[in-house]
Amino acid sequence: MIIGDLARQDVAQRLAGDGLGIRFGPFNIRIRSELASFAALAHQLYAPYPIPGEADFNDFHVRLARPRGLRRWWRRQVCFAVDGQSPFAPYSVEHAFPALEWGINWCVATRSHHLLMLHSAVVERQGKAMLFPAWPGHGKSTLCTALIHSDWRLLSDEFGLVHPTDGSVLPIPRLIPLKNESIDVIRRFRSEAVIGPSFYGTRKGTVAHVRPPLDSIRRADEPARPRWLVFPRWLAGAPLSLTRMPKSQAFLMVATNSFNYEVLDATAFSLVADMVDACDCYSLCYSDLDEAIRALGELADADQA
Amino acid sequence: MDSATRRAQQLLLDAINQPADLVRLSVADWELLVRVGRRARLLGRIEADLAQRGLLHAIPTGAAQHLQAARQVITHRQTLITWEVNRILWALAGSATPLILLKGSGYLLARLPPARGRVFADVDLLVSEEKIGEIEEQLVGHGWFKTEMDPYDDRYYRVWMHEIPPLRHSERGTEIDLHHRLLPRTSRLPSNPELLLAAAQPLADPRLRVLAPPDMVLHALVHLFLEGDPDEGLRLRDLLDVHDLLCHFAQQTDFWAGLVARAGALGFRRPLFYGLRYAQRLFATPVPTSVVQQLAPAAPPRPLLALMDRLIPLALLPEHPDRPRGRATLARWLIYIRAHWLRMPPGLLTRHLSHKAWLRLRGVRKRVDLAQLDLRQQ
Amino acid sequence: MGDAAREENLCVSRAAASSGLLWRSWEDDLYIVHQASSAETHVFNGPTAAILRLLDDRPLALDNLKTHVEEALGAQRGDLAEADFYFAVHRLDELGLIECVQAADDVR
Repeated sequence: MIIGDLARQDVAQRLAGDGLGIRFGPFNIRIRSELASFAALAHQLYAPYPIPGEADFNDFHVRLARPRGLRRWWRRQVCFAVDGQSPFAPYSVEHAFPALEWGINWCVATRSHHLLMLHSAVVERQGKAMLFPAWPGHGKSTLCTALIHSDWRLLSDEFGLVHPTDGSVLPIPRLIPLKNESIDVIRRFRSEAVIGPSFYGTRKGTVAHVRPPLDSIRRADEPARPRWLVFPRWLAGAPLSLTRMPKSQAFLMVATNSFNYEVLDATAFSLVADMVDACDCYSLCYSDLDEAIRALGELADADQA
Repeated sequence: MDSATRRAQQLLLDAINQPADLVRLSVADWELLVRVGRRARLLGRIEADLAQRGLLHAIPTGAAQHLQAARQVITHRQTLITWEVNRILWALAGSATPLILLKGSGYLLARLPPARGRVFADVDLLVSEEKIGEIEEQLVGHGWFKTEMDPYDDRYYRVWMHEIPPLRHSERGTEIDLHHRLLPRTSRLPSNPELLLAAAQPLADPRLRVLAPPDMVLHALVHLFLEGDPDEGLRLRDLLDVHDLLCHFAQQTDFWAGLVARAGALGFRRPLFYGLRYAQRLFATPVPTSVVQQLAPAAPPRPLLALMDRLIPLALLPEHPDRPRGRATLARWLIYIRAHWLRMPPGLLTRHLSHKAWLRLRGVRKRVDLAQLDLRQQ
Repeated sequence: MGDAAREENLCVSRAAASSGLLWRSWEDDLYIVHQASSAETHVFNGPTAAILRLLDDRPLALDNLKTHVEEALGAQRGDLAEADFYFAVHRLDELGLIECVQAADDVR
């Protein structure tokens, strides 16, 4: 069963009651919220995501709650809460949806040490994964969104979840938060992309969420083997350059762009080293999305031959 | 107390007291146990108990993954703490001053039962007060630095406390707390660091020591009852340390007699009375009847004891995560203020609490502000 | 292990904490090394890695060690700058990977 099978009132009722269950790749989340505006958005943007079964284990119980104390009377605010604790300062009510999306990422990033978590976008073609480990602001989300609307499958925009026993990358195809100019870039690039409303004036500027293509969401239990590590950088007016990167440098970039490399000790070292061994490593500098996508597609095609 | 909260608390206590029965829990029970166990910082303990019995495969996969994640963090922290002690000895090469490892780092290096599945934050060291400056200097010369704090906090530490502001290594980030006594100078309870230093017992490396068994138990109690936090209240984890230590040391002859005598000598009979009482209630700690009788005179007056019997379990046990109750929050605050009352004279307490409140109003928040932090830095 | 060590010509050996190192290196002259005892990952250049590997079998006096490193790297005697060599030795000591055994004169 998927969220879209429920009527909008059912979604609102579940959110206000025992919670709405939703599965993002390996994680089952239970969401509670009494905000009508949130229920409407959840029904729309989460429609293709599966609902975990009654007997499934829920990994995180999250909630959008009114802050306690005096503040609630003079400002319309919400708190993101997990297991009754609010780790962050309250948000204005208008930003409830991005706050929840962000909060769920935070839960995954801070608690899922049974996996190695790289800070990376991951896309796949023919079972082979291309990873884009990068700092924010380097155009990782934009490139990733463009790729998954061009014959690549989305594994994740934010997390490279590496399974410690076999080094495969697990999908977690969540909504992709586009920021500021990227929103229009993607609208122009693919008019059919499903993009939610723009949230203005968030802590990261304007944010709008792209819903991954249905195929990516349906195949959320199909892992992929790492094959390419690409370190992207968007630079206005720059000509396309896709150049080999020394593997030792790639190792350091992956290890430092990770949520829990340190925590996994020797396991993380071996996983990252094996990944670097198995991957061709490139740095990519681009200004034109079409050019970048063509170049990456050629890499994949060449690997076929 | 509502039934959901009672259920959550019972699940947690049963998990600690009868780990073998965990295989019978439903998925829904596991879900609740993982949530309260995380809050109480006991997931690692539950994992260790199951692993010891080879039962990790007999529980729902989802729950097992959370336990595995907890174990990963614990293993990592244990490596960091052990390594920090190794590097401290390296930095202090040539110094003959013995270092007494307190709390977590002591349990870990002395291989004592409370170390099992426990998260360790820092290295806590007790050294004699006249050596503390010398040690601080040597560490600062070898890569550690004095953490910056606002002048109020620095003064608070140096003038009133039982430790100096923490030292942090410039590369590793691990913190060292250097103590010269177990309780703040201002405390209404006495503390005699000389007695503790004299009785401390050497580990394999003769420069490292841990407190003698009775002192270790008493320090765990002092930590439990006097180092609370207004949000967390009393830590169940700390009471479990006390339980583990009592069960372990009780195998030594004369341990109990020594413990009662030592509590008298150090002026810790009241905390010992409380500690044994609530360890017995929550963990069924086997305490000899004679010990209970000997400590009976240390009990507070009846009305106060009745109040404590209500407040302390409220402050120790986690609430149901979906049903936070005002009473438990109030209990945590009352216990916190009481703890501060014991640590500080009342005038100073008012100053400290009001200063903290003022800081909060001025926007010094404990919570992380998302705007300033990217996800990966969490 | 700084200037004083140089003057006394100490003998150095691998420290116990350096057991179980994991090594990886690719096309360039960099070595990525995981140290289990500290949970740290280090990046070593050729000379630093050579120092560690030369101490695998036996302790060496510092001046001896420097000559061996130069040989291992295919360099001329004296090619490795003193400052670089002692910096690497000092760093490895700080990381707990090597330690002084005793003054080399006592060994001879």
